[in-house]
Amino acid sequence: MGKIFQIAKNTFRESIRDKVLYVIAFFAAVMMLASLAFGWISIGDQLQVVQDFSLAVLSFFGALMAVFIGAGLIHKEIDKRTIYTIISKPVQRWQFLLGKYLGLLAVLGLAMIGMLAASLAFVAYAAWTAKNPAIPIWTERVAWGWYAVAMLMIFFETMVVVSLAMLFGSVTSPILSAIFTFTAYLVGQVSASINYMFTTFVPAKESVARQTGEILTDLASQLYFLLKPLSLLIYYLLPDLSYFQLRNQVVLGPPPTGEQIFTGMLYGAGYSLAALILAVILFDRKRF
Amino acid sequence: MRSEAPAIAIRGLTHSYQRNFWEKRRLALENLDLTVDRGEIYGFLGANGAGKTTTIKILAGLQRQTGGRAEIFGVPVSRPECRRRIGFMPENPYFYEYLTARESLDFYGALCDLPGSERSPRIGELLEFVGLAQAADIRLKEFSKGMRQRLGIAQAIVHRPPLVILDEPMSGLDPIGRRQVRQAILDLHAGGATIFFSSHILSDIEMICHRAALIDRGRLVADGSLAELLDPRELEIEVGGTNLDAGQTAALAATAGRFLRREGELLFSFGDWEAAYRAVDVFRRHGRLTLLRTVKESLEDYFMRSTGKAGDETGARDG
Repeated sequence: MGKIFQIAKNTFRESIRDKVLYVIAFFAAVMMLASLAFGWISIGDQLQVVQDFSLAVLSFFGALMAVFIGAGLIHKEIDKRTIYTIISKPVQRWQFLLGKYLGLLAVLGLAMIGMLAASLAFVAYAAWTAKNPAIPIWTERVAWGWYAVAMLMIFFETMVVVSLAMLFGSVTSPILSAIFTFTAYLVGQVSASINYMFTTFVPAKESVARQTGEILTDLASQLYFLLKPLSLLIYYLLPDLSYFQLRNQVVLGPPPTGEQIFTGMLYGAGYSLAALILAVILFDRKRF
Repeated sequence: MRSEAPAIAIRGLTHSYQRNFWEKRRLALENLDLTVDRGEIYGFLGANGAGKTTTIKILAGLQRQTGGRAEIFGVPVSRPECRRRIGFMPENPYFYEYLTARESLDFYGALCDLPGSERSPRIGELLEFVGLAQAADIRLKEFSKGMRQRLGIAQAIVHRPPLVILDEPMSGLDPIGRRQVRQAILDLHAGGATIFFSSHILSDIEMICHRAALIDRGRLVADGSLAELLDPRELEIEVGGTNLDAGQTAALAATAGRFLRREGELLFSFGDWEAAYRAVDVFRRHGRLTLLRTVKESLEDYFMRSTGKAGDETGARDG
């Protein structure tokens, strides 16, 4: 554990100096600030808009940081040849990879705490300026506990994205790795819906059509034989990030169940572990 | 692990690689056999691209061979415990620039399982050894190449390995830097370590190595002590002097293998003693004799003779 900790500590020191981190954090703060404006011009509850938008910004910019720093993390070690003096020591390659992963996760955790603090400040400000200031903001207007849970799930989502960045980063160039990881993140946002469409919605529609004698002519039904296995493949290979999307429930209610939170955390940990194991297998075959 | 096993034993080591899957495989090493005994300073000699770095990377666990075997003190290099017994310095070592020399050595010490209580005195000792005590708390981005090279040696020996492997340790250094690194190697050897280092700077190998191996295009050309490798016979006899007139100079130059005029001194090289004696006689009678010496084969001559070229590229990826 000592070696992994040392590598993680070193990665933390290295990544905390990465300018990309600060650029993304700055834009995240700007976006959150903009959420106040969106709140003011929105028709519904402006406080809900600010909360929802802030959490979405945290998720998106957390993933961006994971992609841009994580994708080049391994390559930088190889490119700058700093890896030579590490791998030639009694350090196993999986220890190196895990150390890098945990170090980056620690940096992102810290960055997200910073972004969370900014987001809380904006939400508190929005609550304070809300139409009915007589209602105490710390109790009824904002569910702060659930807000923290939503944040925790975003961190688990980031954990998955970092593991993918490490996986792609250990076998491809930083640019390709960033593209693959970001694509996986985007597809992961909708993979559950795609899966639902081809495993539940289209079959149900076909069943109704059979009963009514209707002939289905839409593209999804026509290409069902091809799209179903494809959607299943995408669903099982790429992460299903809907497990971590609790912000609507947190902001609008009803609040997420304990089972939902636990399943999400378990899925995040399991997926990250699987991606890291694959990364270790591929990294182990690498020649420097 | 056998207690009598040599420091390095390489048998039939072969390594091929493919840059792209559509390209033909290239052979970086072919059936290499090499033994480095304990307590030696062993020079690994070859032109750029000959396969030196590939061999060293396999020994350091950075690459895996495609054939043959390599052992360190009787333990196959594929086993991680083998790396506890080696200290490795890559060519032009790179470090985390935001760390200081002290922080850097602390990091490497921890990777070698050195307990925290031992690390601090050991780091002080190492910084003294490589002459970086004054620069211990300076960030590495401000280090010169020579300082990085010396830090490279320090990180390699942080865990007191019995075998130190250095890849081109003198590469790119000025004469002072080279001398410092050479001295560090000699000091390490005096401390009981076996040293294996690659170089294409022949004079360095000639100066400090007990034995050397010559590799060319991934194949071992020769190995042995320098006395065994180099031709003991005189290659040429050099005669030098002054005060000869143009006619006498031209007559001697016609019989000499090489003729050189340097700051008023006339230098002639002869392939046999008979011609050399004639030149000595001419100088004694008509001028002033200033030089008479025999030239034996140097490692550079041997290198040229054995490889038939001067450091061309072989197409292999690593050195």
